[in-house]
Amino acid sequence: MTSLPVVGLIAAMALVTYATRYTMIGLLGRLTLPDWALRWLEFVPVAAFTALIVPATLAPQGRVNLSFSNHYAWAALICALVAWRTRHTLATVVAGLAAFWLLRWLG
Amino acid sequence: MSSSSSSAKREVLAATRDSLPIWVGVTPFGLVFGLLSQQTELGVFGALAMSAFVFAGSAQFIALGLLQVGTAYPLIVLTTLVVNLRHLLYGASLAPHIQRLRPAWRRFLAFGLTDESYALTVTRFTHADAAGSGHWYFLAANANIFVCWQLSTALGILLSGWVGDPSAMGLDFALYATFIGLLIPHIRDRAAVVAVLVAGVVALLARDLPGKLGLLLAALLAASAGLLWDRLTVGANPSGRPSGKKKETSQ
Repeated sequence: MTSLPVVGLIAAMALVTYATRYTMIGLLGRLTLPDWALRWLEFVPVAAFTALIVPATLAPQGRVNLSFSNHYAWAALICALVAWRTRHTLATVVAGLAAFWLLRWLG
Repeated sequence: MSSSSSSAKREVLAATRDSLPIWVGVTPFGLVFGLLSQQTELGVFGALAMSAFVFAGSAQFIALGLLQVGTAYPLIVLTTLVVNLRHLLYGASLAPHIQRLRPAWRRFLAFGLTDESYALTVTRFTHADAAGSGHWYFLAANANIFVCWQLSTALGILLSGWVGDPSAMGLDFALYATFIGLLIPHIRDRAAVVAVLVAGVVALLARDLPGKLGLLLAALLAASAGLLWDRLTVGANPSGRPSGKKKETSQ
């Protein structure tokens, strides 16, 4: 059975996580943002996606690795090309995984 | 009413279709979480409850790591808060689009906000004409990812003990591929290119910061750099958009 401290831990984690999710949605529901802030927010997805992708693919083991042995980096490059030409997410994922497995198979 | 309910249905279907690559990308992480969770004091119900109520992959993985080395619980909660600060950014980015919804709707949508549902929803809000039904898209994206996360966690728990690491099969790459597929169409002008470069460099340099602070820092600096570029070049190139906004112009 789950112990009481573990229940408390999960409840507290759930609470702080929800606070980060709701705060801006709750606050901004009541105030309107100036133009520059809206423009700033338009850059957030671009910035966030890039910040998720770059370390995970260029430094998958924690150290920057641009050699051929880093399949993540080369497959990511192929993904980016396919995404740029097709603008199709599923096609990008399929091509990316195929490239990743091919690179790994080639060693 | 009938036209609004049919557009709601269209948004739910679109979100479910767009979630397909996310299912492929998220499942390995849920499996691994389920597997690893059984090496800690969470147990079966603790792991299931964490996926259901916390519902935040990165924070859950970091919590597992901290539990394994016997970290004090308050410190785990604090780390969870820091790791999830990026949700403030996502919330701020989506808030203008869901401002007119009732508070109960917004509270419920907020619960499902994740990297993945943000990625899908912000793309829908900025690229497609959701015709006032975009919140149904947001809801369905959240629901898809939630169900995927619960099922894969449960499967990981079931398999714990006699299966290897699914990321060894390279399935974790599917998630990054999805993010790339979502990122590229957002790069529409020079300012966005500047934001990408700054985000990439900062995220790489700051990758050893605890939690996901590097991600937060990179996103804050990159969005500011993009805005700054926009302001500095406003006379020369009034938010020039080389490619079409919705569809690629013929190549």
